[in-house]
Parts: sequence; C-alpha cells; structure tokens
Amino acid sequence: MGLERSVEDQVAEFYYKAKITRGVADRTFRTWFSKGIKAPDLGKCAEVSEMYLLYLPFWRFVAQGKAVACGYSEYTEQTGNVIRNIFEELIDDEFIWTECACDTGKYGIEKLWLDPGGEAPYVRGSVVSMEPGGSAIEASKRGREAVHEMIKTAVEKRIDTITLKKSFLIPKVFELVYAPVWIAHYSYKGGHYTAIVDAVRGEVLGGTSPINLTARTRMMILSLAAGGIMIGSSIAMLIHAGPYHLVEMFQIILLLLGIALCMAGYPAFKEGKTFVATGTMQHISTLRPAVRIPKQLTDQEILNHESTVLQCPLCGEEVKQPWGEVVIPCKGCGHLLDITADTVKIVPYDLAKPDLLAMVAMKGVEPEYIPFWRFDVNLEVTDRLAGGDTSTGLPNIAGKRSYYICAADIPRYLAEPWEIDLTIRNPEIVEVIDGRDGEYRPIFINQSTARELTEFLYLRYETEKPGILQVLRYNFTVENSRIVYIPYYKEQASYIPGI
Amino acid sequence: MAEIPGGIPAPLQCSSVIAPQIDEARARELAREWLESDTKPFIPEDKIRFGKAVMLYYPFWKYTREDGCLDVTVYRPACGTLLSGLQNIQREDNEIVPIPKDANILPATVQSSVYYPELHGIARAEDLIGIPLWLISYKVKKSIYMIEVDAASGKIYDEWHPIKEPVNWRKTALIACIPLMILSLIAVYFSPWLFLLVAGLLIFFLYQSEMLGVINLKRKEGKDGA
Repeated sequence: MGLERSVEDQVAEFYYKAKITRGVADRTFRTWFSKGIKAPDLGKCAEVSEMYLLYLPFWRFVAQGKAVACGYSEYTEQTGNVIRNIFEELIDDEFIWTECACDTGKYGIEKLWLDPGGEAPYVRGSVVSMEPGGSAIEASKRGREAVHEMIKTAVEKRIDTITLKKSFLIPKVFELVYAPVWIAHYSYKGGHYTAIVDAVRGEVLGGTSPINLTARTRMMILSLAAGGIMIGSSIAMLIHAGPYHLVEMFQIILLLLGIALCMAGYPAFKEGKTFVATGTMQHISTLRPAVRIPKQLTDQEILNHESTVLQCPLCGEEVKQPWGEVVIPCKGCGHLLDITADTVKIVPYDLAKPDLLAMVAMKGVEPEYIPFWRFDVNLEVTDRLAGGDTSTGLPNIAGKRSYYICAADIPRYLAEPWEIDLTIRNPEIVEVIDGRDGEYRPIFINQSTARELTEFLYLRYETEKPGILQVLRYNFTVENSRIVYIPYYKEQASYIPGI
Repeated sequence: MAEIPGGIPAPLQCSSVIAPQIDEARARELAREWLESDTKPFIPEDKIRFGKAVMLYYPFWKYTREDGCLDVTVYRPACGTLLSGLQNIQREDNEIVPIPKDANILPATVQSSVYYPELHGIARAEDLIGIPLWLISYKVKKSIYMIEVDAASGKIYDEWHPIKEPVNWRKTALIACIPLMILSLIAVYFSPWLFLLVAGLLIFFLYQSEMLGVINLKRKEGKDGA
C-alpha cells in the first residue's frame, strides 16, 4: 500500500506472457474473416501484409471499496398506495480500474481485458511494446475517481433516496501492465484494414474489415421500399379516406414511421462500408508511439522530491523503504518511522505484554507481535433512525473509546474479527519497555488508510445490528493515534490472542 | 530526484539517421498523387482536405548479416508502433548522416536482442538508426486519415484510407422508394387491387434479398434442449 510514495519512475511494471503463437493467431484472424457481416470473399481475397506481436501498456489501479448506504425506494400501487422499501447496503469488495496508457487509435482498446494474476516483472526493452504516455500521477488520480464512482454505483444500485452514505477507498496496487496482442494489417480490394488478437486468450479484440456490399445494398432497398409503401399509403389515406375508416392518428403515425424508416435506412447502410469492431478513428493523428509526459511538478513538490533520500529525524540514519511497507523501525535508534509521505515522521508505539493466562497456556511458544493502529476516538451520535429496530445484547461502541485496526499484511477476513473484538473489549495494555523476543510483523497499512478503516468499522458494526439503518449522523473525532504491537500465539492455522 | 531502480538498462540512442531527401511540399504532392491514382478506388480529389504534416524519425535496428555468400541488411523497429508497413521495411543504400539538431526522434524502447531469434546468418554489424517519415493527416467528409510517406525514398505505406464504392447509393434509394410510394398512393386512392402489385413487388425484393431464407433456418438445439 505504498501508493502515496509512487512517483513517475517508481510505478511497478508487469507483463502478461504471450501464449498464442503466430500460427494460431493467423488461424484466428482467418476464422474471424468468415464471421459476421463482413465481405463474403474476405477470407480468400484478404492479403495479410504484416503480422506482429506487440505489448500494449495499461494503467491498473486496484482498491478495496468499502461503503455503507441507507435509504429507501418508493413505488405507487394501482390502488394509489405508496409502498416504501427501506434498504441498508454494505459494500466491501475489490474494485479494479484499468486504462490504456497509449493511444491505440482506430483499434479503440481502452480497458485491459485480462484479470490480475499470472503476470511477470517487466524488463524494459525485452519485448516490443508501446511506450506508455501521460503521467502516472494523473492516471492514479483518474483511477481513484473512477473507483469512487464504481463504489457509488454499486452501493446506490437499489436505493432511490439516500439517507446515509459513506464510502472509503483503500488503495492496494497501482501498476503498469503490458498485455500482448497480435496485430495483422491486411488489404482487400484496394482497402487497407487491421485486425487485433489477444495473444493470451486468442480472441479477436477489435479491428476493421469491409462489410458485405451486397447485403448492404439489399437491406437499403428493402428498408426504403417498405418506407415508400408506408408514406404512399398514408398520404393517400390522408387525402381521401375512401373505404378505409382508420383514425387520422394512425395515418399520421404510419407516415412518420415511413419517413423515419427511409431516413434511418439510407445513412445506416450507405456509411457502413467498414465494420469497426471497437473504437473509432478519432485519434488517428496520434497513432505514433506515445511519449511519457511527466506531471508538471510545483516548486513545493520538487523540493519534496529532491529529498527522496529519507533520513531518521532523530539519529540521521538513512532509511530505506522495503517493498510495500509504510512504517518501519529505524536501524539506528529503533523508533518507528512513517515513510508514507515524502517526509519522515515518528510514530509513537507500545508493545503489549502477554497476559499471565496466555503465557501459562502457551508456555514455550514465542508470541508473534502483530501491529495495530490504535485510535483514541470521541464519537458523538447526534441522530439515529433504524427501521424494525430491536434491542440486542450488542454493546454500544459510541462515545470515547480506542479503535484498533490491524496494520499487518493479514487477510482482512481474519483481521476484522480481531479489530471488532479489541475495539469492544478495549483491553488494558501492559506495556513492555525494553522490548521482547519474538517475531514482529511489518506494517503495511498507513495512518490515513487506517483512519478510514476505523470509521468504516464503526459503520459496519452499526449496520450489522438488527433492524435496517436509515439515518446516522455523528461527529467522529480522532484525538490520538499510535501503533500497538499485540502478541498473538500461532497455533497451526489460527491465532490465539495473548491479551 | 528519484533514483533509477537497478536493472533498468541505459536509454538507447540512435547513432545516426538516414538523410531525408523529400521536403514537406514534395511529400504532400506524393500523397496527393497516390490518393488520386487509378490503381485504388479512392474518393475524388475535391473531397480531400490535407491537414498537418510532421516529420518524425522512427528508430530502427539495422542488422547486417552474412547469409551464405550474401550480405543481408535487415531493419526492425526499435519502438512499439501501430503503423503499418514498418515491420518488414526494405531500404536501398541511403545516405546516413549525423543526427540533425532539430530532429524529432522517437525514443527507442526495444533492445536489439529481441529480434535475434528471427534473424539468419552470421552477425556482422548492428546499428540503431533513425528513419525519417512524413506523417500527413487528411480529412474526407468527417473522418480523419493519415498517410505515411518515406522521407528518404518517397514510398507511400498503406494505411487506413477511404474507399469509393461501386454503388450509386442515391440512385438505388430513389429507385427503391419512389415507385413503391407512387404505387401504394394510387392503390389506396383508386383501387385496393393495385396493392397486389405492390405486395408482389415487395415479395420480389424480399426474394432477391434472400431474406425469406431466414424463415427456413432451423435453430440449433443445445445439449440441454434449450
């Protein structure tokens, strides 16, 4: 989750290996030629002048979207009764945004068609690839906005009137991914066309091809003939009704339908001389390789970027960021340092001592210290309304309380029950001054992300209570934050808390 | 500034370029001649509006190989490109000159070793050189197209271009629409029997268009009987 420190040259790059050979790609193109409404002799007459493998770059932003939305949708019955359905939606899913990082012009490929998984690290120059254009920082911003929009769409799907909505975005990965494609340029009766095949799955992704001219001519004749009959009949009926006792409205509709059929049929079949699988020719002028344009940095940003060599503010020791870690201990003085931003900040931390019961029960087993962000929160609920609310034994976690968010790289389905347990219990932490032996898990979740997860933890807790939440207004104030290492004993595949 | 991570090779630089022999005016002339030629059925000249012309140097790997008793020179693009005609580019012996100061050279992004598997013979030399291309945009009706002119040899590379079709669409539309409109008008106004003629004509069109064949098509039944 080191996204905040991603700068132009530090974006991770991966590529999918091509699995389709030239021969298979050629066969795929030939099969595609004979499908659909293309020229009937395309397979015979098309001459492939070039066929080559090319890697296209894509920006990919993966984020965990968390959202809570409450509200209602209303509909009116035939009897006039207004029925109101109340909803309480909770979203906690992974969202993936991709965008082509180069201009693919007429091929119109805008999004990556491959799912994450199976990529290999990309070494520049090792394959023929298009150069990614634009700025990584700008792309990351677009990704965030797009994912926010996806979360919004997902959470508001069923609700017409929203009474409560909170959404959080937890960035996971921002990377540049190269996807292989086979490109074939071919000519047919004086025209020049292109087809493009996915070199991983072997499917045609897009391209251009000539459309069956005979079919188009026939379709145009048919549509205009039908339109002519409709226009002629309706005009005649409007002038002289004769034996046809049809309402005037019908005659006018018939006339309008005839005109519409002619107006739509003529351009549709006249202009469609080329079948374009995807995209348009709008950006043809930029078909040359894109050039990477770094974002114009402000003076302040330049100053910050020049100090990329991070140093401990207390002892001056140079700090190096292991991949993905956001808070690391200083090798010189042992303080915890937040290196998420371009500056280094000291993070206060505590080390909890395992309680006596756990030490006795797990005698001879060294605990594993798992880092948690502890936020001292003052949460004042000003307004709450829930439909079908019933009282339960669940405690109220509003008011002054410490919230715990797991900062280690532990799956969320494991960490979330621990977080709720610690937040409800608020255990008394017996601090260890000189440190203890044991394994200390690295910290992968930064403070701002943990802060968002804290608020989501509260909201999720409220939505999981019986009844359908409709309104929840509150003031959420974080008074203090620090890292707390909590001992956990690992027993086979499960963890046993040491406090 | 951000450090360059280890393992990334130094940027590739062209050592020289092929001297352009054609200026912008000549390139435009060649493009126009090509579009007007009788060999390909193009849109008439008066509908073409030329736009910008840009000369770019595309980086190419020039491999010199000894294959049997012959010296073979092979060119392969040193950058990813979607333009057609550049993959198997053939060159005469063009004059090679140092890189001009104001040259627009695209960055080379492909290592020479990428193309080794497809090359034959004994390696004698390899160079990274820039080949100049004029990219000229032109508009026909509402669509924008581009033409590539080799600035050294004057050769035109086939790209997406407009095509004039052997059908007079206006005439076809009028012939299909007007007679049936008049016939149906007369049929309604004077005698509904004339509609038989209209229906007959429509069936004839349907028969000609092979649209009736659609009715006889049997749907394929799936394994589950769907």
